[in-house]
Amino acid sequence: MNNEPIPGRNARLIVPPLVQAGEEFQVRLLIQHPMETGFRRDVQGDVIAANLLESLSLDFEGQPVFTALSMHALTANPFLAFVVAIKQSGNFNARWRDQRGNVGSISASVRVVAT
Amino acid sequence: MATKDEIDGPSETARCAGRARAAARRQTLARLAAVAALPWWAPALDAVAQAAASSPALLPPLPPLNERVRDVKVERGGLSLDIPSIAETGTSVPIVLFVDPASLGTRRVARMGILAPLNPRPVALEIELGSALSQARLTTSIRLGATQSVIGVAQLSDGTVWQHAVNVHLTGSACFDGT
Repeated sequence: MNNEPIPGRNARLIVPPLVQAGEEFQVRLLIQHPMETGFRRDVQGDVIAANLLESLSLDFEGQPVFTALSMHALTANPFLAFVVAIKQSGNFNARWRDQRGNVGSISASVRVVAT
Repeated sequence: MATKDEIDGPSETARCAGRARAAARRQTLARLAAVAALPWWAPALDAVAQAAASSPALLPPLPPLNERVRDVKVERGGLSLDIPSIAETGTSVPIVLFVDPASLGTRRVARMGILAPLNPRPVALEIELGSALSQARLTTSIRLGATQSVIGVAQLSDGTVWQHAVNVHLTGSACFDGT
């Protein structure tokens, strides 16, 4: 059974389209991923292989927002939200890789408007 | 002083299976007190910070968070941990970690982490905070395997560690569920 999400269409990075310079706003990242722990068994009783996110990071124009060092207990379809403030328009970029080697990325742009 | 077993708990499978043991629950607070007795593990910090600055993609391996906080004195500082005290299911428990900026002074928060000592893997989450953040606030959801004290950890740029624990009662474990 293949219920893997479609690469490139399996995440949301939610930011406000327009902000004022230095204004605080929330960046929300939602990734569609099973985050299989390796503790579950299928109907035959076989262990379902672990498939957790191995690396995950978010940056704004090269400036890091966060880097995950360990994510063992993130839920399936991990959601993370952070509060940031920016001075100039630019793109947020998120990148991740899971234990099966699947990589994903998503970006979202924010425009800074004059106050 | 905490022994390894008190902090790490039993082996992965044994921990999940033993989640129903009432004794384990009664020991939760004792464990917390044990974690509370924990000097700060610091030597690799500078090396890590330098390596992180030169290549953010290739961080050197750190000892797990639970080992690093093992001998740190428990201090809450400006850390707040917002997590429900009763959770319907362990598959998704919302959690917010926040450090009050007024308590920081010139320091900043370098890392934030969550420990769930009775989970099969006790280090639930560890995140390095970047320079683009304007607040040390982390909002996410985690999995819990058993009723336990969830420990939020914030590590400041000067090496100070703040931690705060909240007891979370579960009516269902994430260990046996489909999600």
